[in-house]
Amino acid sequence: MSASAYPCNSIGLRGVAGVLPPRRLSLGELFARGWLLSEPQRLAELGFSHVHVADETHDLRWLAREAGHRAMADAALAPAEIDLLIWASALDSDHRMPGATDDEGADPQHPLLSAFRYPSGWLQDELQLDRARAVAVAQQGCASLFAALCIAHSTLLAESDIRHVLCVGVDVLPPESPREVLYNLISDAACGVVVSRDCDRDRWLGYHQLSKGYYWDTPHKQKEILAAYFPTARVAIAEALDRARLRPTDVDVVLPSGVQPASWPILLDLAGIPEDRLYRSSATFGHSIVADNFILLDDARRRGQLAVGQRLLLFTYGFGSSWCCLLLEH
Amino acid sequence: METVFVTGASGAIGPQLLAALARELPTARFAVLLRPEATSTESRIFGLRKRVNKLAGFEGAAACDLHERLMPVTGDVLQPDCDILKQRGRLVAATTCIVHAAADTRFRAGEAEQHATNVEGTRNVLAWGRSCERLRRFVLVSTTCVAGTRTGTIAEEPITERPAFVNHYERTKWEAEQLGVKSGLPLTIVRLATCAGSQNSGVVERLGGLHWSMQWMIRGLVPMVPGRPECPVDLISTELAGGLIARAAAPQNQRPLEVCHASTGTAAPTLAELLATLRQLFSSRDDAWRRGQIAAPSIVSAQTFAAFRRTVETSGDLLFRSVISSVDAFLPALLYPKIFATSTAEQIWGGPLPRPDWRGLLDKVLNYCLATNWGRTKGGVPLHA
Repeated sequence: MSASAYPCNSIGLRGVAGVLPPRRLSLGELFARGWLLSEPQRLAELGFSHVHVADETHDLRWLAREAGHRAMADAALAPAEIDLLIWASALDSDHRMPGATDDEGADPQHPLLSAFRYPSGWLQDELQLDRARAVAVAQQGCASLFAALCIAHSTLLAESDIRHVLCVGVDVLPPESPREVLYNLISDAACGVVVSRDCDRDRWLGYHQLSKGYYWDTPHKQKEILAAYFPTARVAIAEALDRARLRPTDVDVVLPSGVQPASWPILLDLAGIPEDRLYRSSATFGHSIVADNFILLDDARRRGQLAVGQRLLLFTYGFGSSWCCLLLEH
Repeated sequence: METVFVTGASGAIGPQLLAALARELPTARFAVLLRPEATSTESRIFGLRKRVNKLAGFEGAAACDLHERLMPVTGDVLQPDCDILKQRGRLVAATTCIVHAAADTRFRAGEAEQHATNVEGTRNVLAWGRSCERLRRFVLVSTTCVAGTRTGTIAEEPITERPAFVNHYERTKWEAEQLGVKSGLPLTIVRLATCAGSQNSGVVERLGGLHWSMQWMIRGLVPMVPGRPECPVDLISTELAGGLIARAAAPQNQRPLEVCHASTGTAAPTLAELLATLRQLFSSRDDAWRRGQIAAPSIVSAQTFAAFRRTVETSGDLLFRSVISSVDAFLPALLYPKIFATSTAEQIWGGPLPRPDWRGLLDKVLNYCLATNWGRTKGGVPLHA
């Protein structure tokens, strides 16, 4: 199955914000805690050095709130101007607000009702997005925010009274969870993206997503997923460019996800995109599940690394399995 | 009476070679060198006779004759004089032709092992040949891999200038050819392209890099292959390999030195065509392929494949190391496009070489591999990593 949105030059990313919790743990510290599956040296050779980890103060709530606030600030929008809020998380645990006690009081309904403590509603309330509708995107893995943006874009096309959509992607691994997934090191992080009509910042050129249900059973298909990553990514990127009537060499900047740094030159070669187009951030944070590409986009925008008119390519893969490519014009 | 001394009878083309020799030289006897192993020589020669009779289509008297014509000789090419103790005197006097097909064809085998079998083994068999009083022809079974990294048209002549090689197999087989050329024996070098299997049955006597790559590929575990899309992939059947060697061993062949190619020449499919065909074949057998859920491997440059190999090696993933090992064994040569001339082979053959439908050949070979789970199930050939 594939889903594509065609270019619409009036829609763009008006506000972008990436947020990492301040607590950093090195490979050695992670290893000492038993949070790595591989030797630290091996992960260092794969390009990883440390991760950012949420703590009691800088938890899922803080990350989501900061991402929402900063994205709206970047977009110069007030909460009342947001028409739609989309919460995006890959992990099931991040679709339920932390802090609930299942045995509270004598109410027999409490445990069941606690399952409906949704963070999208909490964030809408927290940010006072009182005019907005709130929805959430799940089951897209690391592609959750890409899916949220696609829905935002489609909604803007479909509903003329919607002007600004705030997408907030956040994932925090459960406490004591291993920080390594398929040779990638995982950070907690969040990002906020405001997708708006009549916007000339990072205008939407196209989006293409290849979803392959064959790979749904991640634990059992992990080897096949690793093998499918490159050839399917190549197809997803090629089709995205083709639909946007762009050639690989038309791409000026590739904003990668945080998966193995060594994999990106390989993917760019497969896609026919010169390696010097790969954006290299001064900050490293491993792989943050949903937020990587947008942390880097925020970084590039704030550091003035992007020139007007440059074409940006953002790519990610999400367990589920989906390969997603977003094309923007800065 | 012709007596043909044959090495490598239990190898990838051995049974087809013996069947072709038995048909080509209907009155000859065949001294088949078998290494001393736990399984008795008698038991192995019994199985080999049965197999050769089937492949040659011998029944009745012809089948009984083969029992007399196919003689086991215990020995080892790794030893001086092939370590032939019994029958030595009789063989020295009787042998009129030697077909040396024994080789270590494992592309990823260690340098020492490859050198021992392919170079020193050939040296020993050549020495044995020089002691044979009536020897009229020494057929050295070689490989098109000896052309190494050369590109373009490869002539049917000795490659005297050492090319660059991508693995020890290529180099050691080239060195074996040099020994043959310098031996002064009446020599025919038959260079074989990649033997996919039997064009009649799809049977693969010994699985190689091609077959293991197909196994990983149909499981969706090969993300990329090194090569050029336009590079020819020279696939032949074991029937063509055995048939051409047998004709090269025939008495009418009297040239002092010749080289020929068992190759599909200009009819070889390109790497892109091969992958497209495999995709079709997999799609007809596997639902995930049919539904487009598994993407065919990408064809990448040597540099990109090396980068991918580094990530696999760094990760330490054992499965992907095996995948890379199989792909590495078969495919790096596809970075160096070449066409093998076949005019001498056609002279020996007596006309144009048969060009099997390579798609049909792959279809049958894939059937065989699937039916035997790549040699693991009963009825299949043993595993040879």
